[in-house]
Amino acid sequence: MNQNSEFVIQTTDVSKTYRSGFFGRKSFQALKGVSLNVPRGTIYGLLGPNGAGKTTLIKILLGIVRKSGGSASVLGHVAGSHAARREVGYLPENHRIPRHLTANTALEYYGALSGLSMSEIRKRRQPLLESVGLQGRENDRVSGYSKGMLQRLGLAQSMIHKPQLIVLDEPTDGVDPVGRREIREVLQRLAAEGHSVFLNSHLLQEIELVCDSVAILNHGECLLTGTVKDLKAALTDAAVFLQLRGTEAAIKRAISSLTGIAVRAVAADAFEVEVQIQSQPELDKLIDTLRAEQVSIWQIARREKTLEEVFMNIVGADRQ
Amino acid sequence: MRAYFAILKDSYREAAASLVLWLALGGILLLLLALLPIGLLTAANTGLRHQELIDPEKFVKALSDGPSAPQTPEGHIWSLLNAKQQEQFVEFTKAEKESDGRRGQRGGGVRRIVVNTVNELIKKPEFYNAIAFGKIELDEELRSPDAESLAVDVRSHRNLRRLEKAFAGYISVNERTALSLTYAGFDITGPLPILPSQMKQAIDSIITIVLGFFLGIVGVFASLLFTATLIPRTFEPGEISLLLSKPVYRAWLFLTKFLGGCVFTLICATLLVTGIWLLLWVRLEMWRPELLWCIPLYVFLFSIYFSVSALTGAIWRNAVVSLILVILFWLGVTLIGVAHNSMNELIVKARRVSEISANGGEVFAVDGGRTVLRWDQAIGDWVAVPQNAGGDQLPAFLQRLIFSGNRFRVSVSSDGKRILALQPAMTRMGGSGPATILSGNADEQYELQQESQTPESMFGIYQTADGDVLLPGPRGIYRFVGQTDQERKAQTFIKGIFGGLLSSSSAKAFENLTDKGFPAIVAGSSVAFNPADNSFVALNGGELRRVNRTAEGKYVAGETRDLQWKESAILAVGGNIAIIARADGKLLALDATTFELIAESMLPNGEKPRVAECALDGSSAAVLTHQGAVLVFDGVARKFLPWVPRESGYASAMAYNDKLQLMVVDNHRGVRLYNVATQTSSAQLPGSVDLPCQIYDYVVAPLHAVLPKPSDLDNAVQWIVTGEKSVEIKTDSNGGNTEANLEAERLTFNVWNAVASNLAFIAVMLGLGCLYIARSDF
Repeated sequence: MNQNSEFVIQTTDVSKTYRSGFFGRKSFQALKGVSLNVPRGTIYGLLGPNGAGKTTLIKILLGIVRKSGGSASVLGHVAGSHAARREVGYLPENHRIPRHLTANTALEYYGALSGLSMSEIRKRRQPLLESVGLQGRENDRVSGYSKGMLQRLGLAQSMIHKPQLIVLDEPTDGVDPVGRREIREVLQRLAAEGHSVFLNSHLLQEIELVCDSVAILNHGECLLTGTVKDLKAALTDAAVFLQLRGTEAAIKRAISSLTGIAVRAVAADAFEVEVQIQSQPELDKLIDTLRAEQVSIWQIARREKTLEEVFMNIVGADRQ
Repeated sequence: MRAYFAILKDSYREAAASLVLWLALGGILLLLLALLPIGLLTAANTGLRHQELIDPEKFVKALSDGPSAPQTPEGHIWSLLNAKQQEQFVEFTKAEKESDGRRGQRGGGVRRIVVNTVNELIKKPEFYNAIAFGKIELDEELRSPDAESLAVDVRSHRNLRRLEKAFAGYISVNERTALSLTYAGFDITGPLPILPSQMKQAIDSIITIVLGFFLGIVGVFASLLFTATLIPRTFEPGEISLLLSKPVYRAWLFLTKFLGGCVFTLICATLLVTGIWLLLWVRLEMWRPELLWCIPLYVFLFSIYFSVSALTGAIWRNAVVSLILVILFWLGVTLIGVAHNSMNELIVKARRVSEISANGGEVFAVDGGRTVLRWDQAIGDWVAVPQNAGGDQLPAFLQRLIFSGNRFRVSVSSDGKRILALQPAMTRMGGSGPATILSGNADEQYELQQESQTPESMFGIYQTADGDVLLPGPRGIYRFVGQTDQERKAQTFIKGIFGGLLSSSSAKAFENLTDKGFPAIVAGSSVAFNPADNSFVALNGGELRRVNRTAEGKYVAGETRDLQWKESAILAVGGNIAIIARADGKLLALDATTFELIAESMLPNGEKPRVAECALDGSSAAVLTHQGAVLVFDGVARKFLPWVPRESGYASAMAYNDKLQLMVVDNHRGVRLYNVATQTSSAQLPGSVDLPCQIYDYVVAPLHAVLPKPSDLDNAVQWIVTGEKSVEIKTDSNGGNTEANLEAERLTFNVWNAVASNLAFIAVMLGLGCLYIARSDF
């Protein structure tokens, strides 16, 4: 495989079936042919409801779980291989750093596990701890750390060996808003330095704020992939928001030819209307009609959907 | 490897961060500090030790005869006894006549009373009476009366030496010094009842117990409690995902975590063993670097249990389940070990042939239960010889244990028509006493009948080609001339009334063939009969002595040779060959007449000899070890042979028949006859193996062999501490002979077998763990 590929992660029809019970008679298909390509140097978000298969996909990429079918590569290496894992930093969801360690010894431990020498670790750990905001607490036992501090230490250990790809599973889980902002800044700095980040989070706003691209997983299937911008644009439907002044009868006459309309009175002669209009000529025609009916147009706006709404639309449609 | 070293280092960090470890280390340090002030004080011996009263019967008898000779030490000492003590001593002499095996078990108590009484007497200023001790050869210091102001210790020491001089035949003071245990410089025990030379043995026993308890039980349990969470915690999702995302191999990760788990035990064992080693060195001046081997040994012992904990912890990922399964495993292997050992002791060893003898075409054997067996050619199997021993017989297991030091073998007459055996007994005083002769005749299906009681404890019973029955004893060579019909009837009548509790020696039944002044053959000697010239050879402490038969049929002391060693040894003589097998494994073949060395060799693997046998004409000789190995000496080629019988390694008995064939018994009841000259097997007596033995052979023993044997590692500790690969299963209650009794049944430490099976078990557990982890999703 090509290590200089434009994609840091490539999966083709990756599937995973968990088996349980005697002789594996019970089975559960966690992934059903997931294919996705994660471009190098981007922050890539993986979205999906609980049980969608996000963590399974990540574990397959890291060799923690063996895939049942398909192919997957990480940084040009077979997913889960030693070569791949050497270049990947990972922060698992609800990770547990042994309680007898301090931030310093934890970085020593995980750095050595990643193949770093002690001198390299000592050189790197102080700036790293400063970058995640743990300076001054480096010699405290982690048993005394808050959830946010543990997350930041987890993030630090995933970066200690300067990996090309960092895989983060719910990195801001349990972190306060200030901490989240700091983690977002770290991620953006990593991206700016050319690292690739593969991010799995429930917090769609976080994803929207930091990710360049996303993939949406549901019931083990990849429903959609693309850049956040494209997704929002593609899924921003024909909703136009209008604030109108006039009689209700006149407004209703003007929009009677349109479908999917919602009219809401906000004052005696003031109304808010949301209409579904696909094209600009149709919108122009609606404005002309409203004006012809002596209706004043106070405000008109095309409304862009949030990533959450996009996500809910897609997942909702998939459920239906 | 950097990653795996990091895991080991982390294990060390985890242990160092554990309160349990610091508590354990604190406990060990407290124990070592408590032991630190212990020391030994060597001072002049001020009391008689139990084992130094070598002939309590004669000593008590001599004292009780004291009133008839008041101006003697006996009479004087008797006068110093109070009425109660005198009554007690008289009672002992009466009771001694009622000796039988069971009463002998109480003998230690009598010996203790006598020794304690003597030790009280020698403290008294009036103990020494110049007139009473006038005829005793004493040096100037002992002869002069003691000053009134003399310290009690000094007086006791002097009186002890006077006592020894006066009763030289009954008392033998081995060492002039005595050891006392001190604590912070204070004498806390007074003179200990053991010889200074036995101190090492005593300390070895204490070390074995201390290490066995604190490391083998407490240490292992504490370590298991501490490490029970180690593997399950490692496999918790949050931790294992993090570890497996690193470039490490799963199997190596598991193995390194396992090794890391042993760090706790390593730290505790290192502190305790090193501490004890230093204490012995600094406080008792005993340099015992071999003790340090106990550190890896106890870590190994722990690793057996921890391998189970690691595997179950990896599968169930639950510390409580893991701990419960380890405890169940512990109970399981203990139960299987107990079942194996019980069957071995109570069934297998009781049925195993331990002695064999043949003459005149008849083959007899004795099994572990001391049942005499005869090979019945018609049915092709062994048949038990009926025994009319009289009285209640002890169970076979107890007989084997109590009389372990006395060989019970059958002497077959040259025509095969009569068999004789010596049934040992113990005296009320605790020593080996006179034995009872058992005899059987072909006309009566060889049914063994009790004949006379021997005048003293005998070394064996032999039949010459011309029908004489000879018994070498400490005070001479006796010929058994048999009982008269009148005596036999009287004995049968007494048995009928008292159920065999009473039996007595018939002086007329034995003729002492040695003259007055015949040098005594001391207890503990190995005595061999040479049928070629009806002579005897005795070996004791490296001194060989021939006892020759004169033309008149008397026995006189012959050549002696000091071989310049002190080890215990066993001896066999045949033709012109004498074969000696020493406790240290050295074998010597000597000329039976001149005692000149012919050849020497070594037993394999430091094994100890159990039986030595010579062909009647000295054409070959063989030595059987306690581990079942057989080594053969070719008397014609005059060298030890590299050839061994195929049963070597698991032979249980061995002897020559009158056709000069070497008979070797396998682990049960099969006998193969060998022609040593051609090194071929000439015949076989395939004794049958009964169902319990088959169950043991095909079910229990293989199961025991396959399963780990953690408890057997205690033997390894004993091996490390004592340097002995086997020990006698019975301690020497007689006490007179402190050297090993080589003929006594020995508990063999099968250390390497235990290590191998435990190692294999650990490998299987870890292999399964690696396989499970390599194939699991986390």
